[in-house]
Amino acid sequence: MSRITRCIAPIILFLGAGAGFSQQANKIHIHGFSSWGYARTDGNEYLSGEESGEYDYLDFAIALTVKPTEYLQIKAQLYWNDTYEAESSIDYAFAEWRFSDALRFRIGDVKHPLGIYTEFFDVGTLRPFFTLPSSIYHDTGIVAEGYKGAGLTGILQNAGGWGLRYDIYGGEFKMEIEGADVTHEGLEKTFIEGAEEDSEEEHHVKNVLGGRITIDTPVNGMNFGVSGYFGDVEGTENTHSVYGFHGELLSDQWSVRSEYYHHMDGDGEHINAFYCEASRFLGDHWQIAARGDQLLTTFMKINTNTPPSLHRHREFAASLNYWFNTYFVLKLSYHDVDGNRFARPESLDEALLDGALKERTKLFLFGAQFAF
Amino acid sequence: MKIAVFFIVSCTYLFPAEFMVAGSDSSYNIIIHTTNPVSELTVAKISTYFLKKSTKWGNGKTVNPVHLKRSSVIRKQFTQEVIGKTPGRLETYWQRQIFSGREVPPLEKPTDAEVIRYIQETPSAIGYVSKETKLDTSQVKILKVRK
Repeated sequence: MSRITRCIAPIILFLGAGAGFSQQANKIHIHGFSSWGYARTDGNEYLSGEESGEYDYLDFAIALTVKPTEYLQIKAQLYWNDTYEAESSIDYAFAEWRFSDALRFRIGDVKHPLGIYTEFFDVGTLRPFFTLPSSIYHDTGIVAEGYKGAGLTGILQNAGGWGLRYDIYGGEFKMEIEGADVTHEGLEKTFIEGAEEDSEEEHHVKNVLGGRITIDTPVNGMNFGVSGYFGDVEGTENTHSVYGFHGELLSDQWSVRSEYYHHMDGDGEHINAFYCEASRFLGDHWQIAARGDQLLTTFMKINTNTPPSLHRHREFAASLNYWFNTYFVLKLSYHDVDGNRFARPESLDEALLDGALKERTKLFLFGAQFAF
Repeated sequence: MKIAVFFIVSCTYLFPAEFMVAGSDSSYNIIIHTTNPVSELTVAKISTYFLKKSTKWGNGKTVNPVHLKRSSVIRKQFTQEVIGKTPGRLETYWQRQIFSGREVPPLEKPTDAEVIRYIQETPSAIGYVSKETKLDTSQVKILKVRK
């Protein structure tokens, strides 16, 4: 699909389906979201930022829900990202049959139910920071955007205000893992032989079984839960497993969220990732937010001689946001990063060979995020 | 476990659910179709219907909640008193449901008259209108609401 087609397709979809049609019987719903951002660092490349400043962060998505009958819903989301090079993808496309509130069957390419943010990964108006916490939501091998397969989901409500939401699923994941080469033999090969660095690797995890349970408490806006999965890494005899917990407390002014995950793979790589973020509205429009974020990688089987900073990511971030309303927000954030798991120089090889690897990175990010 | 219970109980006081009974001092009536056998509901149950956490009436029929338009003062009061959220938090809730591929928000109607007409035409509907709007009880049923 050409770039022009990719740009025009959502507009055609929107106009073609038509808002009037969507209202006709409440059967077709069209929604979307987008982000644009400017990012600048003091040296290393991190997220979309680089030392000279980068205006390129841009994405857009359109979500469709069609309800042909009372019990059947068809859902799909198309996503365009123009940050590094133009790419388009299907975030999810699945059918859901509702047997009851407690039992819904889903099949297709379904949003990955893990923790808090995975199901609305790119929606900037649903979080206090422009970007999600890197330790868990960067390409670490913890979250996948969706699973191809089938699952069950449902809600159980209690009159006392308690509720239980669950997901059980099985299928296949496809996930990008940044630094996978670096954290294994690749870096040593790169370091010693000066080979071309390829720090991003696509993993297919097959035969996945996973689930999530979230408990809603009688405290308005407070929930907590556990989630995890395991599967086989395609082309190897390794298993890939993740488990962890999450908690949220949301009120009119405050939001507090935290998640912890432990990831193991058959190579003996263990990742412990954790973040905690809090935000507060000051009046109707201004919001301040702070976040602490940490990822540590340890190797049980491989004896790497790589610098420890390549296995570490510690970040403190603060954000000042102006919300025009719940659908449109401007965000200005500062990020102080210790470690090179994600924040790296343009040429890691040269920096390592020259002994000039800079372990600290400062990032300024300004952007707009909106949804409809 | 004791710490968890203490934490939840403490939070109940620090972040109280903003439920109020939509009783005599509320500015709206909650209405359903005349053939609907239900005559009384709790605030919590009505909230789950409008949040689509529960989607079935006791008789197994699908609940069709209908809101007034977003700018309506009556909608704002209903949202805060029955659903227990500010309008902003409710919109955020629906964004989350939409983009995670879970649910879509209830239908919206611009006026009380449109809500009443929808309720008359839809046996499984539930909605609310201003108390100042005169209701013909042969056309719609007014729900009793309890805490």
